[in-house]
Amino acid sequence: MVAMAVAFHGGHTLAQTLAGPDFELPGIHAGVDGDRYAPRNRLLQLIHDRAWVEAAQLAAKTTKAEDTDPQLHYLVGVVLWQQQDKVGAIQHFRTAERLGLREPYLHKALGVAYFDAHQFELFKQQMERASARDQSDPQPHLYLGRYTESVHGDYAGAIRHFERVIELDPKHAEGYSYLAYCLERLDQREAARKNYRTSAELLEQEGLSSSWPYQGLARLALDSEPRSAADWARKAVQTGLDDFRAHSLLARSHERNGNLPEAVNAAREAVRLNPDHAASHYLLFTTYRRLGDTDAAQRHLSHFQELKRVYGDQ
Amino acid sequence: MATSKSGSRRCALVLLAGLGWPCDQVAGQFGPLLDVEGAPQARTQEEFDQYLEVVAAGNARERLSEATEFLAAYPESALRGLATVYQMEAHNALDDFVGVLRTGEHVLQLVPENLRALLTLAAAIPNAVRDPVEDQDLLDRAESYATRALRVMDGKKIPSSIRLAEWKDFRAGMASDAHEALGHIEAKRGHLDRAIAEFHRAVELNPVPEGRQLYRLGATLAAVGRSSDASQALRRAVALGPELVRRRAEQELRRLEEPAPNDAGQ
Repeated sequence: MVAMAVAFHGGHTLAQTLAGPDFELPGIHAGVDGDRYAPRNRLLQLIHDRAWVEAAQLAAKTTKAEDTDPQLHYLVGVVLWQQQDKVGAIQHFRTAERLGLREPYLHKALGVAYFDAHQFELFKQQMERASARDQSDPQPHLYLGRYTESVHGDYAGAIRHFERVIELDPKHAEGYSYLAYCLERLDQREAARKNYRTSAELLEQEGLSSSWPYQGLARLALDSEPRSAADWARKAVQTGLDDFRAHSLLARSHERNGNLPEAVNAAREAVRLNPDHAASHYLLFTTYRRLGDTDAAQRHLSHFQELKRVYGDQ
Repeated sequence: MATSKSGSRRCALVLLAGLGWPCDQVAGQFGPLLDVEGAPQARTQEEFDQYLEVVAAGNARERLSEATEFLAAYPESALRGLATVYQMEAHNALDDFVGVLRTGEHVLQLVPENLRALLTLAAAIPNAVRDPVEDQDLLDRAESYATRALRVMDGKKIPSSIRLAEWKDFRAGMASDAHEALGHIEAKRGHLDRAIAEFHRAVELNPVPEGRQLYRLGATLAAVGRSSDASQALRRAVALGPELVRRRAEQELRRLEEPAPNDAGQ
């Protein structure tokens, strides 16, 4: 079984977070009527092997009208999702559901797909069904929390979901990080700091790395302890080299510590990774101005103003 | 000449459900939303299933039928605006002007700033106008749709998931369409200099040169006697195609190259 991988990045919307989940997979069917399940087993094997081209060819032969194996439809949905045919994926997940599949993995996959289609009521329904089917699974609560926080900006509501995640799995590093993020947004800084630290410790214990808790710790230290903020930001960059937010935080912490050339370097890296990051352009404007490079300052101010005009205050 | 476009340039980039821009490749409500919290919600899975049948339809006729069925089954659906955009698109693909006008204007009642409807109507109306005097009101409506589209796209705030560079191309493509429609409207009114200015603007703005716009520019330049500029635009139209545009541009070029009647007698 492949766990549904959720990119571990705060600040992303859930839709971005769930851009490419690996859906959970059922087991190989080894019943006496094995022939009936041969297409399913073959497709399952191809998905396990990540042989997407062959899987797509096999999936294309599966039609709504003719095939009555719900798990086969589920697997076809997984393949179509991977092929970016999200409408087709939802249709096959729904066929699986109509044919009687009631496994939590189907409800989670369908919920994620509904979320991607911005069908939030249907998303919630599916996550609630997944949770009812397996009350020990923290994943639906994680998704519901991310939805509550990212779509509605309801941090207090999201906290209840993330607390449930942690209750179900006290070693859930993501749960701690998202909980910390919501606490941070509610300005409960000490509690946020404590949960970011727990998340970072759990990740280290597991031998995993994520930039997100370190970014949180850096943000929380930025105003009161800029040196400590720079240390956390460096760690955030080490664990998230491709994450523009980490570089942007490093730039801000350098700027707070008066290290202007380093601030410029880090902010330039942030805008290299994300040319539309308004905050980094603004930081480059103010920093270049302090360094006396008015041309560069003006260039970044113009870029910043254009971004604000197009994106507003997002 | 049909004004329906493949839409691939725009659709490959993004579907802004807030703009209601469905196309064959991208689903009706997939992709980034400007106002995620305000996204129209299906009330039941069955309602969304039927909406997806509209999205997934294989051709215009099927899509029209699915959209009509959806709207009949769920007349109060929050997704009816998007379904009506699909209906309008299908009518447009089938060159059914009356259908485009009816459904496009219905979309604008539901979603007054829907850019897809504004641009489709602005392009489709002058195509259908045969008598500019009798249909003056229609041309005025088309003009108001095109100018409204330009105003709406200028003030549009976009989600951060769309890159600025992509948005600039996307917006330029839409602005180009609006200016092309304005050029067509002015040509129908007989204001050829104004038409040339609008077609020029359309060609300049378009990030992907389009044969049809160059043909229209070339033919209008030819009509005012600017043969050299006309030939240049028409040759580019021949090179860009598609086939119908190529044939018409070649025809126009041949006309330009024919000796004038006075010369023939000499």
